[in-house]
Amino acid sequence: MLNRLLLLGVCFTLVSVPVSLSAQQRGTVTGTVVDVATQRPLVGAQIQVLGTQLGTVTNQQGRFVIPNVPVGTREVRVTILGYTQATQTVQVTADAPATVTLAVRETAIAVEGVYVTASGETQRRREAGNTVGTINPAELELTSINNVAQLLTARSPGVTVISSSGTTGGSQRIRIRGSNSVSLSNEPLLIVDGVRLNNSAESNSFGVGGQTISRLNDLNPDEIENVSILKGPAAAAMYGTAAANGVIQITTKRGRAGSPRWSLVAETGVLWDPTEYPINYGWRGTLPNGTANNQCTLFRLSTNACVRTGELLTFSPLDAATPFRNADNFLGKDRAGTQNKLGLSVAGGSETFTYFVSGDRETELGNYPNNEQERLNLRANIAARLRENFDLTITTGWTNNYISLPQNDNNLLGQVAGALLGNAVDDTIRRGYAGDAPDRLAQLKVDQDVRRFLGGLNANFRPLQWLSLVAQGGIDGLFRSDGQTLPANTVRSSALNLLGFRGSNRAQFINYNLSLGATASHPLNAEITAQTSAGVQFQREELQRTDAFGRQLLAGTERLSGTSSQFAVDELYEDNRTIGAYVQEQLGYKDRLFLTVAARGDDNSAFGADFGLVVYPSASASWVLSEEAWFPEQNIVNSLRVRTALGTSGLRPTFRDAISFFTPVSAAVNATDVPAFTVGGIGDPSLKPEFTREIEAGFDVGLLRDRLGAEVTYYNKRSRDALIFRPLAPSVGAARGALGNLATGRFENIGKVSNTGWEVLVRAQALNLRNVRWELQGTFSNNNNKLIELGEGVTPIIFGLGANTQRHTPGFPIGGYWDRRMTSFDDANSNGIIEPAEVVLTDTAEFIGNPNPGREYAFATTLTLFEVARLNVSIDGKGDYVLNNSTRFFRCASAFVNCREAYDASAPLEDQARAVAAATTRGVYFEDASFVKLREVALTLMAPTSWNERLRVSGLSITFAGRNLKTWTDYTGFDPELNWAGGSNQSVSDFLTQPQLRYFTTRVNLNF
Amino acid sequence: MIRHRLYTTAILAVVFSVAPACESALEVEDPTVAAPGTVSTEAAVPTTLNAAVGAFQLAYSGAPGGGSFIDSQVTTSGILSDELHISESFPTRIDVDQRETRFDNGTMLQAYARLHTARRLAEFSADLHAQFPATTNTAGHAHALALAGYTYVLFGENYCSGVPFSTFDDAGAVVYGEPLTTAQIFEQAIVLFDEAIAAATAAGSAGGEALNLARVGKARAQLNLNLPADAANSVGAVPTSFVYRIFHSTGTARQNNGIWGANQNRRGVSISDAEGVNGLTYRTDADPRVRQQRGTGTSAFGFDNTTPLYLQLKYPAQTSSVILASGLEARLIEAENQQRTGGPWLATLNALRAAPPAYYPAAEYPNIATLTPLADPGGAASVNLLFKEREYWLWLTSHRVGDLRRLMRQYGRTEAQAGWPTGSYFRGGNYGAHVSMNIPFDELNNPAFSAAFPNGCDATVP
Repeated sequence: MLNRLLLLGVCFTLVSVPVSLSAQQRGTVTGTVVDVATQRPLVGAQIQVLGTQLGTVTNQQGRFVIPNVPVGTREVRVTILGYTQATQTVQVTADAPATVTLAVRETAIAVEGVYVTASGETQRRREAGNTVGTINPAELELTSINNVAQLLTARSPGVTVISSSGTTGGSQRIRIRGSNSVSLSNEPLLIVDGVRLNNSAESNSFGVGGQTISRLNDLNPDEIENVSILKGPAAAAMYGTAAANGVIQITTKRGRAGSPRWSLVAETGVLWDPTEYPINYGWRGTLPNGTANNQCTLFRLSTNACVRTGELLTFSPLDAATPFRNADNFLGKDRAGTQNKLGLSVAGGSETFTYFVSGDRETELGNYPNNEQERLNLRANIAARLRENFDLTITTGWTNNYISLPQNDNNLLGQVAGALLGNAVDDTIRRGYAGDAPDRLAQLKVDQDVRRFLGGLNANFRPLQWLSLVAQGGIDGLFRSDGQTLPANTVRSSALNLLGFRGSNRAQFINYNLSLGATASHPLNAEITAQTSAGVQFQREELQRTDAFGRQLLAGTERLSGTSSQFAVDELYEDNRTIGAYVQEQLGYKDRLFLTVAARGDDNSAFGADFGLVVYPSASASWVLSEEAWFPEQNIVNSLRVRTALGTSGLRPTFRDAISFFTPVSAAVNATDVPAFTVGGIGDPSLKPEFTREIEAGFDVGLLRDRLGAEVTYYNKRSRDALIFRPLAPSVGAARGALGNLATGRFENIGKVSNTGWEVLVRAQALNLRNVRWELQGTFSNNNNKLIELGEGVTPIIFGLGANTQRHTPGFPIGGYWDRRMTSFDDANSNGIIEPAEVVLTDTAEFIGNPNPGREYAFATTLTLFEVARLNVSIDGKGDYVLNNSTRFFRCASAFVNCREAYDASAPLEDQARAVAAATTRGVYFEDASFVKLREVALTLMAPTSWNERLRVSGLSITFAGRNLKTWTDYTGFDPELNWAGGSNQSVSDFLTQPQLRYFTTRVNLNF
Repeated sequence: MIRHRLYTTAILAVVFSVAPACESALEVEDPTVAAPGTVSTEAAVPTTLNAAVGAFQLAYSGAPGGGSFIDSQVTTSGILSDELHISESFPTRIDVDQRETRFDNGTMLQAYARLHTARRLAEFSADLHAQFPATTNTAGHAHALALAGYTYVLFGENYCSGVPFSTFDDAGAVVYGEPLTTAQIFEQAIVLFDEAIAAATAAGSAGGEALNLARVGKARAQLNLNLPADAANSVGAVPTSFVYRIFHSTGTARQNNGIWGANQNRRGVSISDAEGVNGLTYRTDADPRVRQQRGTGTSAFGFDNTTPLYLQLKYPAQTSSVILASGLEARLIEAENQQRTGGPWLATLNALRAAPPAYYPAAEYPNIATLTPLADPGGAASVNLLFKEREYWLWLTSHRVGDLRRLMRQYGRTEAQAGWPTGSYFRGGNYGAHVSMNIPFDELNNPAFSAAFPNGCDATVP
């Protein structure tokens, strides 16, 4: 079937094109692209000779040269992001170059511009029936963006970056248009220069209590030229069985024809934790068995579980004058981390060869002594026009990324956890910490060293005027070394830990992708053009990992040979392959109405043996109404495009999900260790991909001479055959999984999920005067996520922190918080204390809230004065979601109970009621987490032109920026942007998680 | 025109040459796991028995793992009853300690699921033994059947009535089982033990250990069915010196002793003493069969830093083995029958006290010194005495919940009279009324179970 689809596409392409084209005389077109208002030359504009495959990009002076253009009357078109499109007719002769100046007008909304398609070719935004989110880092380089997650945060409506913690090197979750999948990853597909990347948000093998590492942040934002975001299957159908969660397309910087242009960036900054941590409370008392105890809570008093014998106790391990206070190994409020960055790049070239080379080293020391990141990025991109009809682009990137993570979250080895769950009195051993004291905890070292190579190749061959062939290949070679070391006799939390240990896990993840495509362009008549594309693609994702571990570590060593007992080894292997073929036909009418239909077929090695090929059809329409002759000429609506797209995409099962297998283990039989096995999984041989269909519709409008613009999009996305890790009745006897995290279930195509929502982007040029320029941008998006079906007879899936705080229940959002709700409380006996009988709970667990934001909004403004000063302010927020404040639950109702309302009768009654009710339900601490943050303020001072000339540089600026400056929220935890489980797919809770840090940075940019 | 055709031909040639390679490009070799067929051969029969033993160990006596400890039948039944109490922070374990075994308790789901996996792997091994003539009547076959039988016994004793027993095949097809009543579970256990006895007997001297293992298991099931005479008869030939141990090692994390892991390593459970007023005085009696001591230094308190930690010394190391069945248990079963029938039950008990069996190598666990003989207190106290002897001899071997339920079911005791903790719970609130573990929520995915128990089973029924 796949082969037939492939052949059909190629044959259709080749027979449908006209064959009357013959050899012609050739000439050259040269010209310049300028901003019509300022007459400034524009760099990076796409130039296309219509009716041919000929085109180029303007150089650093805004100039271009296109040789080999057939003589005659030709139309030349310029497309550049953020400007209107312009077309001009030129007379090409064989005698002399035809020269043209193309003037374009800046617009608030980017209707024009191009993005890279699945086949590696470029497509104009106006031709696409879907919206394409665009982020241009050049606009942001004068702020304090230090990783790609920050680059994506609140920039494009519908793209939600959900931070997890303030941990340096920590992960985050990225959701585009909500969560599609119950059990598979919801992270989008990440492509850099045509290379499909490992985009795991949980890429570390040694636990630190919850936080994880994201491979997204291996990338250096300063290398990025632009980011295009395809938000769902309506846009990404051609990516096949990988793109249901959307696609993030990153293009790194390229050289431009011209003399070498050097850029130097140097940045330094400080970061610290602004959180005011609460103190610990207690009350001395006696238990019924006579045991003395400091936890004689109001609740225990009321149930006669203790008798008070003392007074209210208070103590704060973090504030106390212990030997650790303000020492280097201690998390103190005054301890600041640092951030430093130094980068140098050079770009340039000729009309036939361009290059971009950069190197960048960045270090960040978190505010824990064992938390740091040191990243080195090197990049070399070259593009060559080997022949007039053959372009070759090679991109290479190298990353060294060292990350050391602290213990935190669901883990008493964490310093915050130890303090917050600690005692209300000091002691000489632990100094009030629940676990060990900080000096000991700091000796537990968990780190990761990554070496990563990204290599991409794009060859574009135009053998005929109407035919373009593209070959694209990529490799992502990721070599990861995870280590953990604990010296003996330091951490005393368990007998095994006292022995000390060393673990070393070495993994290599190799992703390959290769695609071959052909595109034929041909006019059907004077007004209608047709473009036919077809191609094949192959992807492979391979993992090989070897783990080694031992205890009783020799002092002063970090080597496995220094361990002397309890050795453990393991190997992991995964190999997933996809092969696909696609065909696409696009019809254009007068370059203002575009209709596209396409289909892609995929087969995958993880599909069940009983399943064959999946086909993803798609169609879209785009109509630039404002270019129609009948569109009224007026000064209010300058441009208007309506668009709609319908597309489908999928997510593949993961390795071994479709097969039954046993996993080798060791067993002790008659006091001897012997080989054995256990259940690895029982697969479903009919397993097929999760299939997601999306329809979107919207419009782009430019108003008031394009000084105000808006993009509005509605989407409706529905996944069927959703791959659910459905619980099997445990009596089946097929429990599998990690030792401490057993799962009894298997993947089946049984679910249905829907996501609907609106996305609005508004941009305005409030002022565009000679010396004052004021721009504003606002975004809004909402998402209504619902699990429609979970499969017949399948019980709601219960999971989350504490193993029972979240549920996948049909009719409600995926992973919603469920528990009994407190409906009322009343101090009926008026004793000033809320007792168990004075709170009223629902009889059963109820849906309390969605852990994923249902609304997101952002506002950013830039004020530029006299071309020498620029002020950026960005504010963003999320709403309509709930966060499990498990930190407070544990402080008020767990074995560590030490919050004020648990002891102090003068605490607010509502707080007391929650603490009392928490003995029965955690639901009382599922809190509204809606927030607004003053995310960033950046002031940039730019050297005037005269200074630059005197210094012989082309640009010099200094930026002072602050990040995470203020939060407005009703959430009672430390920060509403927290998740104990890092980049976990569904598990979300705030549990002893390090809050977001505040940054102040100074950055110098120098171009010469 | 010529160029057009040339390129057309070239592209088609490439496509035709690439297309047949598509299928082979998707073929993935996976040498790191075993397909069902590879462990269903005659050569794999011994390995299947190893798998059954390994899975039973994990289900029965657990492992430290997962940053906490693996909930096993020994620790779970100890926490639910008066043997152990929680000294850590897991709310899901506190629920069990407080005798409120929530239906949706995800932590306890794992203990239940592991026991079923142990049962399924034991059955798988037994079935494979039966397929091949050379292995059908061997000690290995009997061993696998006996282990399967013990999983039924543990389900019957520790879980409420209604446990179903399902299966799956190599192709991934699931066959859901009907819920069985507590009595039916023990009856099924007896069927398996009888098969084990037959296979062990046919195996001759090689089957001796499996034979006695099955005899004690059968008697234990019979005792649960209130058939003490049959039970005594079943173990009559079991020598007091017989012992079957579940072994632990430091080979891999899953092989460590989980009881040691929960208590000494994690500091998550502590030894109870008159828990909930009615519990046995495990600590204050200072009985050598209940070896324990107060922790010191960093082990003075549990993981919660508040609950005093008492360390059990029955399993003092990661490698300590756990007794599943023994001749001692056989004598205790006989003593119970004797007590019910007016026989010399006290003499039987005192004989054990006079010569405590030495089941462990001295290096692993010091022998218990001779104990002073008991006197018959008479009346209901005689039953209490007998059961106290059982609980002390069989401490931390997952017998206590079954015995407490038998005291209610067979001896007409109330919860308090039986010894269940009642009244005020030490962390606040009161003890609940559960006398068994609930069957977890996920079992509702079995249509037979959900039809019979849409709201879960009744954990208050003894």
